[in-house]
Formats: sequence, C-alpha cells, structure tokens
Amino acid sequence: MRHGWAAIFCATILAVAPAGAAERLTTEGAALPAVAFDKGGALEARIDAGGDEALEVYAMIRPASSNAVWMRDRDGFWTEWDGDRASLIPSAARKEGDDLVFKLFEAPPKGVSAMTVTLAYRTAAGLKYGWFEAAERSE
Amino acid sequence: MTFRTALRFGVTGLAALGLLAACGGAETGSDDGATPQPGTRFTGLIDFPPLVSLTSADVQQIIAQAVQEANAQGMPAAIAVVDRVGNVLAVFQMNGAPAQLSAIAEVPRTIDQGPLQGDVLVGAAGSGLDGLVIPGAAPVGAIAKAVTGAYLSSNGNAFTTRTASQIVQENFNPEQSFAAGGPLFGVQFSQLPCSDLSTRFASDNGAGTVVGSTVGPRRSPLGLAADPGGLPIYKNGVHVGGIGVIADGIYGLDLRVTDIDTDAQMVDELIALAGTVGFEPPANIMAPRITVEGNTLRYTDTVDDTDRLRSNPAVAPSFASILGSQGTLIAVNGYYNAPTGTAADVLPGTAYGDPASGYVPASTLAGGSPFESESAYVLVDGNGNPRFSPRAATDTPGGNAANRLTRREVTQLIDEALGVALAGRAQIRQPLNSRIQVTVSIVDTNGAILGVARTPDGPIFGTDVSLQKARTAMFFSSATAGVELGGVAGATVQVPNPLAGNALQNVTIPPLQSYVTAARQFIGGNNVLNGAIAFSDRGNGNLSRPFFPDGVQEEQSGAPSPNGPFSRPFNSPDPTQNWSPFSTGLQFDLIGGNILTHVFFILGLGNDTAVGCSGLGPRDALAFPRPPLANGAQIFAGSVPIYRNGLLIGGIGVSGDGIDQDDMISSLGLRRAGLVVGNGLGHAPEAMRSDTVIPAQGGGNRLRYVSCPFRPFINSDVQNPCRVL
Repeated sequence: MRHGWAAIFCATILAVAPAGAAERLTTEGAALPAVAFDKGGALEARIDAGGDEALEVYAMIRPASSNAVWMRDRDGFWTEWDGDRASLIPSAARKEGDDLVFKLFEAPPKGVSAMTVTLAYRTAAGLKYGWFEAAERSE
Repeated sequence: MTFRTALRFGVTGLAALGLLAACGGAETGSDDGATPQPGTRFTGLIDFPPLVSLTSADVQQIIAQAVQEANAQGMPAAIAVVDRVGNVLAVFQMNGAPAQLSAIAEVPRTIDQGPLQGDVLVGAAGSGLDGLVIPGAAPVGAIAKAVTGAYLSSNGNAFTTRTASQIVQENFNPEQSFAAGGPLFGVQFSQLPCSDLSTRFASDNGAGTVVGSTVGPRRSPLGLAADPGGLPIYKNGVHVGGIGVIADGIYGLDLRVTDIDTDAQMVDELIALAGTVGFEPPANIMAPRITVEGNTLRYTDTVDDTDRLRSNPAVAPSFASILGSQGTLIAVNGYYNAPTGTAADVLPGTAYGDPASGYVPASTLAGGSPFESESAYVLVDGNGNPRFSPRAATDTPGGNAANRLTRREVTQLIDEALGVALAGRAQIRQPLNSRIQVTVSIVDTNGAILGVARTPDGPIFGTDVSLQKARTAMFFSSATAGVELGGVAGATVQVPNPLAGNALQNVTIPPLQSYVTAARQFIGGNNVLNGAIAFSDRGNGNLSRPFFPDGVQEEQSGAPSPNGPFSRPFNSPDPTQNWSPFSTGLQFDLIGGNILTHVFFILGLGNDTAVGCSGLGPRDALAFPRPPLANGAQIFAGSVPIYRNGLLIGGIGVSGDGIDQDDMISSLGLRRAGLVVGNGLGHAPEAMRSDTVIPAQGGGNRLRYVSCPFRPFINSDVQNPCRVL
C-alpha cells in the first residue's frame, strides 16, 4: 500500500455518523471511516463481506487513552488480547444479506470514550480485517 | 520577535532548595566501570512534588498583569495560560491584538569563519513552516509558547522559550562555529497535534485520545516554540504551568544569544514576564544557573526580572475590570472553550501528581505499582487507570512471536532505566548533585507502546519525546525503513496569505524517497535503512544535522561540510531548500502535513489531524493500527534499538535531562535488563552499530552510537560505565 500526504489530505474522513456504511475488509487491513456514538450509547458496525464466507469473526477495541487491547467474545465479555493472532477469541456478528453486523457494546466500557475498533473475519483463505476510530460525540 | 540575547548575571542566591534530596537506597557505581551489576541500581524513594495548582483567581491575576504590561508597551497581545500538563486555562485576546501569525523566514545568519563566512540565509519561504502567514493563528502561537514554558521546566529547572531557542539551532551556542548543534536539536517537533500519546481537549471528530477530562500531557498545536515569550509559572516555588504571549504577530526564534534584545524585539517576553511576577521560579533553578557543555542557558533578556517592565504588576487592575473593556476570552478549537465569555470561563489548573493531571505515583495505582522502583510515576486516564502499563509486544520479530518482548522484560527495562537515572547526577537540574529526572518509553517493532514510566519530577516534554526517541531508534534500525519511507509521496499545501490579498502560499513537502536516496549516497551503497545498521538516536541525529560532522563548517575536499542526508542543507543554491528550525528535513517532512491539517482545523477550515503522525502506513494494522512513528520522529540523543540475539525487537527512549544522561540511561538500562532476564535481550551486535559506519561522503568521520557523561553517578567515582556496552 502506498501512503502519502496527498492521500491523507483527500481522505481525512472522520465521518461523524453512526456506524452503518458497509465497508469491506481486506487481507492487508482496511482503514475505515471514523464514527461517533452518543455519550454512553451503543455502537454497532456493519461491514460488507463481499461474498466471503466468514468462518469466525473477531472484534477488538483499543481505548485511545492507553496501550490496552481488548477482544470481545461471543457473549459480549471483553478480554485482554496479547496481540498474537493465534490467541484471538471468536466474537459474534449477525448476517444481514451480504453484510455482517457487529454489536460492539450497549454502552462503552467504563472510562472509555474514544477507541480504535478492529473488525476481522476468517475465511478459508485467511484473515481479513479493518479498523476505525470511534468516539463519543462532543457535547 | 527577537533576535538577540545576553548573558544573564543578575540571579543571586545560592541556597539549595533540596527538593530532590535522596532518602537512601542502594547505589549504582560499584562496578568500577566494568560490567554493571544488576540489582545494584538506586531503588530508594525521592521526594514527590507537592500537590499545588493554579486557581482561577491566580490565572486571572496573571492575565491582568500581562495585559497591564502590554498596554504600557503599546502592544496589545494574545495571552494564553496553561497548567503543568498543558490544559489551557484561558486565552485572552486584547482589543487590537494581531490576529495572524507569521512564522520566521529568510533570516540572515552571519558566519564569521570557515567556508560559509558571510551572511547565510536561514530558512526561506516555501520550506517547512518558514514564511507562513496564518490568518487568525496568533492565539495558537500563544498556546504553543505557554505549553513550552510549562513542559520544558520542572521543580529542578526553569526554562523558557528563549532557552528553547538556544538549544535547537545548528550550533550550540547559536553562531558559535564548530560547536555541535543544540542539545535538544529537533525538540520543536514534539508534543505534536497528531501524537498518539498526548491527550486532546475534545473528541475532535472522533479522533480524540482522552476525551472530556483534564489528564495530560496535552498536545501542542505547533509543537514546542522557540520564540521568546513563553515562560513557566510557579506557585510558592512549585512548578504549576506556563504563560505564552504573541503581541507582534511573529512566531520566530532568537538567532543571536550574545546581545540584548530591544524592548520592541522582546515585547512578547516582557508581557509574559509581567504576568509571572509573583509566580516566579526559585532563583536557584532558573536557566542562567544551569550550564550545558560550558554554555550558560538563558531565561529572558532582562538583567533581573522586572528591570525592563514598564508597568508595576503589583498594582495591576482586576481581571473583572479588563474583561470586555480591554479584550475578551476567546475559544480556540481543540484547546479552549469560552462559553459564557465571563470570568467563569477562566479555569483552575490541575495539580501535577493528582489523578486529574494524568500523572500519579505508581504506588497509588489501585492494583499496585508494576515497578520495583518506589519512585516511579505513571500516566493515568481520567478514571485513574494506568495508560501505559507494561505489556507484551504485538509483533513477531523474525516471523516468530517467541522473539517478542515480554511483559516482564518491559517491566525490567523500565525499572533498570529508572534505577540508572536516579543513581545519576542531573545535568539540567539545581541544586548540584540533584538526581536525574526523566521519562522512559519502550516500543516494539510495530511502534506499539509497551510501557511508559518516569521519575517524579521529570519535565513533561520528555514524556512524548522519550516515545519519539524509542520509535525513531527502532524504525531507522528496521529492515523495511527505506521501503516505508520511499512509499510516502510528497505534496504541496496551499495556505492563503491575508497580508497579501489572500495570495496562496505554498508549503512543499518532498517525497521521502529523496531522503532514502540521499542517505544511501552519503553512507555509500544500498545497505542502508534495510536493517543492516543499528541506529541509536545519536547516530540518526548525526545524519539529521545541517553539517556533518555535527556543527563543523569547514572545507572537505574543496567543498563545504555536507549536510546530513536527513537534513535540509544550510546554504543551498536554492534557498527554498534551506534548513531552519522550522524546516529540519526528514523530521519535519514526516509530520508537516499533520501540523498544517491541524491548524486548518483550529481555524474551522477542516477536520482535525488523525491520531498517529506521518504518512507512513501501519506495519501490522491488526496488531497496531497506527504508523510506526505515530508521534513523529526525534533527532537528538537518548535512545537505542533493542535486540534479541541480534534480531531487532524494539526500542527504548529516554528524555528529560542532558542528552548524554539520556543516552546513558537508555543504553545502560537495556544492558542491565539483559543481564537480569537473559534470553538474548540486549544491544545490537557491535558490528551493526552506527558507530562502525564511516559515511562515504563524511570526510572520514564516523557516526556515533552512545555517549555517556563523565563520572555520572552520585556517590560513585565510576568514570565511564558505558564502556562495557
């Protein structure tokens, strides 16, 4: 992937809108548009699987204020992730057509108002993933 | 604006305050210069700074005193006050104050000997920030100056933006030919608005790091300032904040330290100085009481604190009487709100060391301290939770996760580094024989932050800078550095100039491949920036100076000394290519777009810059979705890459004291941690280190790796502990 200032100036994205625009994940990782959520509110994210068959899905958050990384299990509990792909715990997503909808939280984890969210799924061919910034709306 | 300074001899009093007296603990230094003995580091407890903070009334008084002096000088000003961790407490814009901000450009520097003898242009419009005229940005400059006054100082040293100017130029002292560059060369591009460590005032379109709290360290809109007029604030002798002033519309620097500015040249500084009357630092810790490399540092251009003031701060009007009549509190996007326009908008500061400040003793954490050092301080979020507790690495060095740094190793690295620091004698702190106070950061090869901790009273700037240093050593030592830099395209950004009919000003950022090519030509061969050479930040810094060797302007084979390949040249035939503190070269070009984007955001012209600096892409976005230089690069000494059995696995960075001290702490910290934990953890093999490199175009001079101070430890006569590295 080629990075540069021209690209950054044109794509300083940071859309302040609920998660919902269906983006696709990639094997090298896709930078997705940022989202904002209501203070203390829920956050869902929708991605377009593009015909992929997701064998397992994963959801991680990195609180913007720290170096912690948490992964969400199928029951909605958050566990620290050590960064090793082999130790990823599957999460859950509902299928709507070709979209996968990740329910990340009803309310953000205590004390976390801005974070990086990483979504991933595993196919027979390998892992695809993407990430976006999420933050409570400014008051 | 100012271009001159004089020695400041007026400080009196030798009373030692003893804020930092040691209280016991084992000492480093029993190694007789041979192999350091793990476990003999200093582990005692030193004094913690008292919990003192500015009240809203204090801030109002400081502003009122500054406004009175601005009126006496006939120069309405923008005035900003921050607390020690960078929270903006007020921004006061006087009626008639300049709105725009002009960065310095095209300043002639006189060289009195050598091949560059004569007038040489420092910087030029179109190069970095040089020559930019930014509409409405005067308060932005005032904030950057206030942050600088706060961040460079501590309870052991009081530095100003004039001090900063002295230590960031191509020679130290500036204009002293054949003297190496300033010891903090490049520090102006730290605390950047895109930093992933520095906190943000608001969520800023979803990019915030810590939202809705007062925890620091806050970012600075333009990085650190070198324009006189930014001073620290003390309350009852305790460091609590900073004040910054822009009255002349110029965001410049002091190019000449051997003479005294006129009142007109130093009006920003006089106004700020009036603001701090009654809030001065203890006399024995002010810059002129501190020497570095034989040079006395500067605080202001006054002989004593008040001799050139035209007003009497003791009889300043009340804030209530000037609010509205003399000026207004103004909001600055991303930094300060003034919702009511009344005195209620003037905020109290946090007390450094209280959880609200974002810094606490590690021993007060709910889960207990992860460190052996009882003196360790850590960063916390708005709920008092640790932000950067030691954690395992996110990478797979050599394709094997077993090579990565473990949590225990990260903890040991920090403990050893803090132990070396607290055993050592500080360069920049008074009284003499004070212990070194710094911040230590550890990163993996993705650039992920594995741990940050500090001594109790390290200057705040070292928090972000230690992380920059750790990342820089890691990045430039890695196998893919050249490829990654080569993938960053250049750009030209256009800014309207309100003083020239909104004609567009160009800021050109070249493709970074040009630096890779230059480095390979300079060093010789393609075996550069591909992992073959381990670059400490001292070695990288050698390549980032406008002269090679550092500071030396002489003929080499009939030509002037070359510039380092990561630096802009000092005297280019094309002056738009010239080096200046506002256009350092690769360091600025990595993050220049972030600064400009952020300034546009402040002015309401676009979205804020993302968290994570540079145009580089993440290395493994699943593990760490940010660039490997996510808070920018730093180019002065104080870091080394970390290896395991010859394989690069991370970096350790240290900042807050003299650069030789920072070098010693990072390198000995790594050495000692390796001796404790084993597992092949340690320095790069000697044959890989940058001090084995004699650049092809370097006139036979080799790069450096680590340089340690003479007899660095308190209560020890060890002369050169770094010879064991």
